[in-house]
Amino acid sequence: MQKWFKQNHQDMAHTKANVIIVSLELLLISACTSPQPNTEITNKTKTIDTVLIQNMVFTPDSISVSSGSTVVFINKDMVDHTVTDQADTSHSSGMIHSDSAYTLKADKSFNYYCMIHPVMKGKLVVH
Amino acid sequence: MNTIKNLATACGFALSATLFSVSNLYAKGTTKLTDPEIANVAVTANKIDIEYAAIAEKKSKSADVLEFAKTMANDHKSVIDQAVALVTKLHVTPKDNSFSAKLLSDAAKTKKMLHSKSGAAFDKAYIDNEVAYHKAVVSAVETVLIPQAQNAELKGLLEKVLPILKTHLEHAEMVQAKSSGHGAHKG
Repeated sequence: MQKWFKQNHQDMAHTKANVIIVSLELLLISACTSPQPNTEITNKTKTIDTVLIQNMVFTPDSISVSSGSTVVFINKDMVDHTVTDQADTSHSSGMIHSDSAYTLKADKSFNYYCMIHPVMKGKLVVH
Repeated sequence: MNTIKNLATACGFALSATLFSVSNLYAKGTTKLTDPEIANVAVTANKIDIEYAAIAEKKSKSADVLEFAKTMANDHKSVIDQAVALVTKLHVTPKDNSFSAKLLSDAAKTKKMLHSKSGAAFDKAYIDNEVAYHKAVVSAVETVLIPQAQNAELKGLLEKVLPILKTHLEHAEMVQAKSSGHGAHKG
């Protein structure tokens, strides 16, 4: 638990908009033949890093995440946006409509921008 | 030749300058806009830029100009949709006023000027006008429309629109700098 809090604190330092989802799952570990099955509660921690697209900026404009983690871009503006790799424009979210989100699995670092509003830029750092 | 080009650019700036002067009159508080009038100004200003974009989409062959024009058409339509949804909800009927009338009379002159041009001269006139127009509209929204809006939701909508207009201005300046050979965008 202490380790979880330490990890959580470190992630919060990377981004203002971290969302921690803690799911509690009940696992049945006993055989069906047992009249009173044993139960075990395990904690599973999943970190979702969030980038807010609001007021025509990516917030935070630079985010550092672990490889394999999930990053969600939420568009709160009234206009469409994209998240597009500056070095490879084929690596793009496509249109992210107003009040919609785009989810990516972080597997490499890249600088991105909005193809529709090219002055909007951000950076994803995968470690 | 340069003198003719400069004159065309100056015409665009002159029209936006008159919009600035009308904005200043309202900003000083000598004339106040009501919420129905503010809604009308907001919708009119967005419609005008969609009309400019439609001309660019017909006349330009520059990828940068066409992409910019497409963004203007789509974004300003989104803003109008939000504004119409809000005034419908508030049961407000946008009302004609001298500010909107000035916007429309300036726009008529600008559209005539744009229609008279072609090729690179059109691209330059269009993007120069977009820079000047967005500067004037940003100023009007900041100094007149937001301060004078009484309804909180209308004020909130204008506050959400302002960063869009500022981003458009930055984008227009980027295209302008690129086309004049002064380098790529900031960043």
